[in-house]
Amino acid sequence: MIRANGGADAASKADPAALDALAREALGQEPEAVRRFVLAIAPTIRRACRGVMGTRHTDLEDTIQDCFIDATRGLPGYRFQGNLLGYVTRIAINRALASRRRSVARVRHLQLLEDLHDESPLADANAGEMERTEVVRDLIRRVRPIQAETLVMRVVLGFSVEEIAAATEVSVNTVKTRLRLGKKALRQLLTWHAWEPERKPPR
Amino acid sequence: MRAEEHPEELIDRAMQGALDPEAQATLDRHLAGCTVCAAQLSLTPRFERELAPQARDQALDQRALDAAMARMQQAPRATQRRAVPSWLRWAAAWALLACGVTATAAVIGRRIVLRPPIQAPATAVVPPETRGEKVFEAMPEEFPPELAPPKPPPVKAHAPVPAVTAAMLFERGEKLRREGRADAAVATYRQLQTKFPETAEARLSFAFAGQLLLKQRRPGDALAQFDRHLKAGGEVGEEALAGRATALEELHRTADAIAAWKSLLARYPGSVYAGRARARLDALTETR
Repeated sequence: MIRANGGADAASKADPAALDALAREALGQEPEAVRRFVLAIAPTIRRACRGVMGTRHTDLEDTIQDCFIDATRGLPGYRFQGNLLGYVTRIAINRALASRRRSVARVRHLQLLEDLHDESPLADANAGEMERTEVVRDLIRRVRPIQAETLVMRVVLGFSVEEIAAATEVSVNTVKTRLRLGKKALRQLLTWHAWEPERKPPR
Repeated sequence: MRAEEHPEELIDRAMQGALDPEAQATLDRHLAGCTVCAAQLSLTPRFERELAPQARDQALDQRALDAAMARMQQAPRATQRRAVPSWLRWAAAWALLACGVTATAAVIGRRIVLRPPIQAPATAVVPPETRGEKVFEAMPEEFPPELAPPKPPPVKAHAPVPAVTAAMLFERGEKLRREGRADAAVATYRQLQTKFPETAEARLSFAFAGQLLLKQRRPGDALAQFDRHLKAGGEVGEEALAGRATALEELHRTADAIAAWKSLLARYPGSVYAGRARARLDALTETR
């Protein structure tokens, strides 16, 4: 990951060969092997889900659970030729985006945060930043799915273009095109949302 | 560089703090006109904080793993679908189609049979002198049997109204809260907590109710609600901890309040309430 400390999760440093071996063992559906495999990919899944949904989303844990199941059940279709963590990340991003799209709880959750921050005298200056993060997350889910996936990897998870290409098994140029189209769509949404890039939270 | 192209490489280098002045100037020119790249750069620290490993991650992973394993063992997915010959699929499709057509025809036919016959309108000869308002006044409240319109067929009883759900109660509480009816909202949340104690809605309602009770100057009750939210592993732990500390202060339990603020800082060092927690800790320590 390109970020100074944003990519400091265990998964990003995991040995691909060891992970592949765990995945092959998990193909046999033996519970202990599945458990070891899931534990190995858990940080990657958690990170992606948290990036898309936010730390305090009410459906976060359920979505992580679903991702564990999807990743395990998707193994028979995995060709063991590319980047397993990239494959897992894509599963998690798409599942999390879907959860976010359909989640009624999200609305409640946002409402709760909004109300608590509005009503409580406790919230400090970071509330504005938090709101802006939520706005970006919310707008990304409205972009076309393949572009949204690329945007999440780039903007939220901090992948470089090359890392996205490896994870999604497409060329760097394809990633750049997706990013360009995704950012164009996101820019329109931000404009519509009266986004103010230099706005500072009130002190 | 074309206007619609984004300097991804420069952005990467800027995040690592490795831009020379010329590259920085190029990036700045782009950022001045591109809200998305500007947002990407400005929100990076926030995303980094959120995505950095947290103390409760292991517990979260373990819970999710246990639940996922249980679900996978309960409902193992069929690995292979049995191949069905194509002639059998066509036969099934035709059979379904035939059943559908027959059923539709039967329903339509039944409706036609059941439709009441159209009756000839009853023509009453009205003398000219009784026309106008008098006629209206003279109309009986009930029609005589021979003029009565055919009664509509009795309405079939619909499926029973669905029982109240956690989501419904939560929505009701929300509505009341937004309308400023705090007592009613708290009562609804309590009902939700009693009826559906294990639901996500109930967990969230503890935080809501706690906040309302705190505003009503009922710190003891608020404290109980925040504690229940935290005990249940609720999703808004930061808010609950901050509310709990405030409630303790209002109860003049200074030592507990200090511990609560410290706990908030220990568990959520990057919290939006961190500044407030530190300020309150300073104030409380001074007053002791």
